[in-house]
Amino acid sequence: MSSTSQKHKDFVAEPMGEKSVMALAGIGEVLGKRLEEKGFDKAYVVLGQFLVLRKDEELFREWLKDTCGANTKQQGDCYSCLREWCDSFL
Amino acid sequence: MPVFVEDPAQFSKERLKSELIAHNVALPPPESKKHAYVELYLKHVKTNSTDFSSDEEEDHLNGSAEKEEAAEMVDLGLLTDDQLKAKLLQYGVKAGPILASTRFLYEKKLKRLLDSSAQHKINGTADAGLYSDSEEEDDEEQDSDEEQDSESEQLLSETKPRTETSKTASRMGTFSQSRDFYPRCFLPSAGFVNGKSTVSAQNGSSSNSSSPYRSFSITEMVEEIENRFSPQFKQTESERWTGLRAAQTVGSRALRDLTRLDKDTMTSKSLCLTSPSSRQKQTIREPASDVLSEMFPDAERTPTGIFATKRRSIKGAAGRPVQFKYPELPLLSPTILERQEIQQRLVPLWVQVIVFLMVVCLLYIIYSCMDEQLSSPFTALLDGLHESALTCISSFTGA
Repeated sequence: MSSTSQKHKDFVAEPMGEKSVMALAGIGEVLGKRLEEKGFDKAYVVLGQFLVLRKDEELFREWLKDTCGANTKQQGDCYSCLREWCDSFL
Repeated sequence: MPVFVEDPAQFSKERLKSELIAHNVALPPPESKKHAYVELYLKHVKTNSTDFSSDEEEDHLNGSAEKEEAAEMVDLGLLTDDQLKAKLLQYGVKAGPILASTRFLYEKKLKRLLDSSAQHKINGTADAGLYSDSEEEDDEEQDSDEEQDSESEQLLSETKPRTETSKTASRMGTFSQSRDFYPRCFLPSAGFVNGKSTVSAQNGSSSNSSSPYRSFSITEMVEEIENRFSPQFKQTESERWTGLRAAQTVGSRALRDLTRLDKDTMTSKSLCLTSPSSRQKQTIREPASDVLSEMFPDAERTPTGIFATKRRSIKGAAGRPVQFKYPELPLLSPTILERQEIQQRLVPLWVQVIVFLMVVCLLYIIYSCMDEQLSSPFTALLDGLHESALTCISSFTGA
């Protein structure tokens, strides 16, 4: 990704704590609602899924698409956001 | 690859039931115990599995690899987590924990891998016996050189002598090895009509055209063409038919060159023999001059191959106005046109307005003056005039 959004920077800047799932880059109102409906209400739950998938980009993207119908850009944003967070905090 | 030997005794009753149904085995009465199912399963399913391919898991326990492939496509959902993981590992995918939330993804991935591998199999290995890559390459090269039928291509691409027993075919084999061929134009006169031989002869000549021949002159070529119509040609022809190998090679090489010439000059004459060396020179430049002559059929040949055409006058161009490629105002809206029209007037609009206003003011002043006091300036003036006129008259009269 050539440029990162403000949301991405904000998320990667600090431990996620109890942040909502909508704090993830690429996850907005609509996708956040869908994820919450499926039980992924916090960003750390999505992180858990991300880690269970061994940080695999392809699988995570697919999971995100299946779960909330994210498009390719949203998938990429969310993936890179979580990966960078993991790189710095895990 | 790992093979999972499962004990049917460990299966759940439901699973055994479904397996039996899938194998068209009549189910025992519903109240019977599990071992009845297991017995039936062992009796029917295990024995049948090697005979036909079904979409049951047991097939790839006993069956061949192909059956397994086919079965895997269908029953991914029946694999246990560990099996799924092992299968993924088989395809080089290191799977993470297979959980309720991740299993679907891994199944999908495995399915994709299976699909791609199956496709690869179809494309890669199935036709390997029928087609080889090297042959196709040969064919392509020859296609680009000249359009030929596939038969001749095969003939040429083989380097060994032909296996055909016919006289012509065996002769062709020796010729192809020595890179000498009978050209097509020669064949009718020789009574040597054979489709394969003619075509492959041209093939040979085309493949020879890449040889490093340099010099070429048109005058030389023309002379040689004229020289070819000589009794000598007949002689060599008859020599060849006696089976003299040397004469054959010389004659055929010459004739190969002649066919090229034939094509170049666009004549249908069959040309005769000259010395091989000069003929060889000709063959090289032929394709290039061919193209030029095709492009410029009327043009004379020049040594350099570059043509200069006369400059032609352009009739009627003198009186024509210059047309600019990009006119300054390509699109004029009505308002712009109007404005231009206004600007083209001699007196600008604002001057006209000012003059008009001045005139109006003056008229108004005159009118108001006339209206209010008839006695003031004009009347006074008139009076003054009147008085002066009277004084003048009186002075005249007085005088």
